[in-house]
Amino acid sequence: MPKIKMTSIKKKYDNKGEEVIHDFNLDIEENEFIVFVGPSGCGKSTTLRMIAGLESITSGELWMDGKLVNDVQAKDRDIAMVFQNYALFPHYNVYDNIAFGLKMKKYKRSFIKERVEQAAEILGLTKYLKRKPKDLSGGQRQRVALGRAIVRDAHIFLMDEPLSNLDAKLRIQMRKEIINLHRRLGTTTIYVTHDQTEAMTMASRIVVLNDGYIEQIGTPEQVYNNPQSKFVAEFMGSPPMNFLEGSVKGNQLMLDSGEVLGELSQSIGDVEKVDIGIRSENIDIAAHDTGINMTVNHVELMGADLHIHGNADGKEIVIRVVPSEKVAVNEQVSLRVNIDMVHLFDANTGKALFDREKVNA
Amino acid sequence: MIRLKKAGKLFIFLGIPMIPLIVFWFVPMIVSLWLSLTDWDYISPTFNYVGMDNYTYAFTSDDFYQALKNTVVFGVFTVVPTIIIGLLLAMLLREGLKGITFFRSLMFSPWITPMVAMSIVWAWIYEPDIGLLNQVLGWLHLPQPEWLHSSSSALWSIIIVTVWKNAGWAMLFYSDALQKIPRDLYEVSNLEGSSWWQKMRTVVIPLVSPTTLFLGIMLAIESIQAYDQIQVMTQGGPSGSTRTLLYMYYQMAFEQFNMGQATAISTIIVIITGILALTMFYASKRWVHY
Amino acid sequence: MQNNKKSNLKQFGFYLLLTILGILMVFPLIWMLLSALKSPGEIFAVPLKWLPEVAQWGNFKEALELAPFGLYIFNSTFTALVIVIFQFVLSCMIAYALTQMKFKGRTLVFNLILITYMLPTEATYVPSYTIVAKMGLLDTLSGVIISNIASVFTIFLLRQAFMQVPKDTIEAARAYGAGDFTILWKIMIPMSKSTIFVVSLISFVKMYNNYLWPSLIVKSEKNYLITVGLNKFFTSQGSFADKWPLIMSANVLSVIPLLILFIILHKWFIKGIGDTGLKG
Repeated sequence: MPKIKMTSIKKKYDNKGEEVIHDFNLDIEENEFIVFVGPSGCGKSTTLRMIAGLESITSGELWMDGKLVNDVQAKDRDIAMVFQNYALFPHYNVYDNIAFGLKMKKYKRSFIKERVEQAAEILGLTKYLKRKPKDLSGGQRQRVALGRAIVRDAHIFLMDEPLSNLDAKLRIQMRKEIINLHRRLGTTTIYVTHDQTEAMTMASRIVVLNDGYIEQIGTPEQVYNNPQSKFVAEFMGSPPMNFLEGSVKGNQLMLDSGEVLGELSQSIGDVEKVDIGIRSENIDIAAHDTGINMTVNHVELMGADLHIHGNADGKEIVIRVVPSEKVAVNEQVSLRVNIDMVHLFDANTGKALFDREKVNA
Repeated sequence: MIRLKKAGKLFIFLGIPMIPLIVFWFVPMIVSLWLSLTDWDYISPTFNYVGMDNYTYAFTSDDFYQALKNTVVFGVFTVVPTIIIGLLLAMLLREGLKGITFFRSLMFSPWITPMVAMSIVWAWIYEPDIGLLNQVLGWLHLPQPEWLHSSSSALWSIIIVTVWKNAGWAMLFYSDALQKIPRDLYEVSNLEGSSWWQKMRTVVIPLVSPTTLFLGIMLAIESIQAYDQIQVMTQGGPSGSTRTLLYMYYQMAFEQFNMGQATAISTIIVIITGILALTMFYASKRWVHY
Repeated sequence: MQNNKKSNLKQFGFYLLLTILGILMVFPLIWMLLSALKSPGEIFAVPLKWLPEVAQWGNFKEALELAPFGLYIFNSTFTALVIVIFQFVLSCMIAYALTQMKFKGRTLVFNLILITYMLPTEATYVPSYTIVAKMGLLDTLSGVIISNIASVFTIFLLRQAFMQVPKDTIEAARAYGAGDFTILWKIMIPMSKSTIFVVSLISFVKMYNNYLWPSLIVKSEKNYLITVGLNKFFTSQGSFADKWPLIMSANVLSVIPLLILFIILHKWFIKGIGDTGLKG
């Protein structure tokens, strides 16, 4: 029995008849760390809030532990939630903020004290229990919000972009802390973010959302290596995947300019227009002329890698090479594409034309 | 030269505009204090310095204590209900409601109208035998008080009018304050299963407390200054039951022309106001959360 | 989380409650109008009659014949308008000095103004009355105007608004050679115009409704403000019970200018009072 089961869930806001979530289906198992990722307005927060009970479900079914909870009030779903702006009570100190949920449920004072101190210990907040939120740093506030969620011993954690207000360095640190917390508590977690790096590094499974539709559900590896749509391919990974336009004829993959990229190992039939997706690490600078040329626009040294931005076949592309590679701006270089790692998408529908997992299997 | 120019500018921007303020506020405040130490009767050109006599007189007169009591009762029972009703109205008329401006306008409209006119209307509504209120109470088989004609109910009648007139004003301030409470605090409360009263206690009341302090001070000062409704509806009667300190001051100054005693009362009013404002500021440090 | 029927019913109940509350709040105004249109017989009917059989519009005419309410309303509107204009000019200058000029004693001046804001005006009436008398302005509208042009309330709120004007903007203007008057007129005032408008509206309503002080200053009928005239009319007619319809007609007349103002500008009142920073 899945921990959470969502079948055909749809959402419409009352006045505007527009549907914002279309036919959402997902099973979440116990102890999973699910990340909903997508651009803003894709419906990820709305879905999370429907699971929390903060938004009503227009149609479809939401099951938790085998119970239909569509009409169960938020407070009775036994869920703890961490909000983007932390939602701390400005007039309460850290202790009272963490204890909030327990106090509302009228637990014994001694029990509350024990739980709060334990949570504070885990989160390294013991020293700050008497402080008010305004006297805390962003990271500390985030920890208080986490503390409020964990003392409740809720069976599901929901996190709505919890790290988006932190600076880059702190974000990486908190990312680790949340993962460790999950490892330690094992609570089923749904985490919403627009940041694909967070999704890739934290999730046990990723749900990629776009425009109220699920684009793909899978582990980080599956989503990265085997994107099922052009949207997923573009959205996941940094730098983003490069796209060239071409066609397939008799297993030959050709660019629109007429250059042949190579022969596909799997037969997919002839396709008039394909979008050819190539990750930056799957393109090299060739020693000889391959017919695929790029004009270098600029070069970024990222430390371990060198990113070379340029124009090829009328498209802007980025390639990732070892730093020792020597290129100059405005230089023309020849590119070699690893044909076994290209992703092909139907130019009209954006759907993947073959499933790499099956190819490699 | 530059300094002179600066002084000149200051004179134009601050010096001249300050003249009315000085002539009609600062100087009268001080003169009033000084007059309270004399026995001036407005008509005679001369007067005597009488020291603290006017104050001693006030503090030993029963009328003074009655007026003080009326002032306190009037103050407490106008300020507290106005604040509570204002907050409840604001919560009822929450943001995003259809027709919100219309309903808010309805609630606020009493504030716009002149107190004098509204007091006349209410005097008519309060008429014991033929007034609207007692006829309605009669249908409901409820007791029909004499309202403005009885010393036991007159002050309460005036209090009702004052609360009615100011509740919409308080509502507007609370509407703004409520709108500034982050929505996610309510959501946390929903998730944690707070009851209505728990939400009030943990979210609403603490987060609107700066507004409550502001309204508390403003309404308290306004209640001390209440005059129009008393003048129109009861002239302080029956038998002094609606005579507040301010009304007493008015009668002494502009009916009896006993300027010395009147200014002594006004000084006491100023002191009470000052103490009140200071106490509320001080107390606020403990319960107001900015 | 309810199904639609239930939530519709709830919605309906909620609006019903709001409507009842709203009607209760404005009921004295409605009752005033209904009473103004009744005949003396109807107004005393027991059990009471809600609506007049025939609307007695003549009551208004009769009230106007008994006292010149048109003149009173003009006097009130005129004095309130002039006072608001003066308050605006003086308060802008003071607020400008308090926010943009550096001088010794600036905090002192501000604190004095702040303290005055807290004090009951009435405490100044005895000496102020004498001062108005010495100026020879008793029983004149000028007396009412001149003694009201200092508004601590306006100064306070304009200072608040002027402090919100970004420093950069002012410094940029100064760098391009703008003088103090230009900055005040072209930058501070336009950038604070919504506060200024709301504050002026409130001041206008307060001055129009002002009673105690004007009642001390004006003595002759030609100078009566509406509040003074109305109360005089009430006390002179109130002893004759059957004059209630006339008194209510006079009341309606006195309230109508403000109600019209409110109906036209209600959005400004409703939005402005809460959020123009009126709470300092």
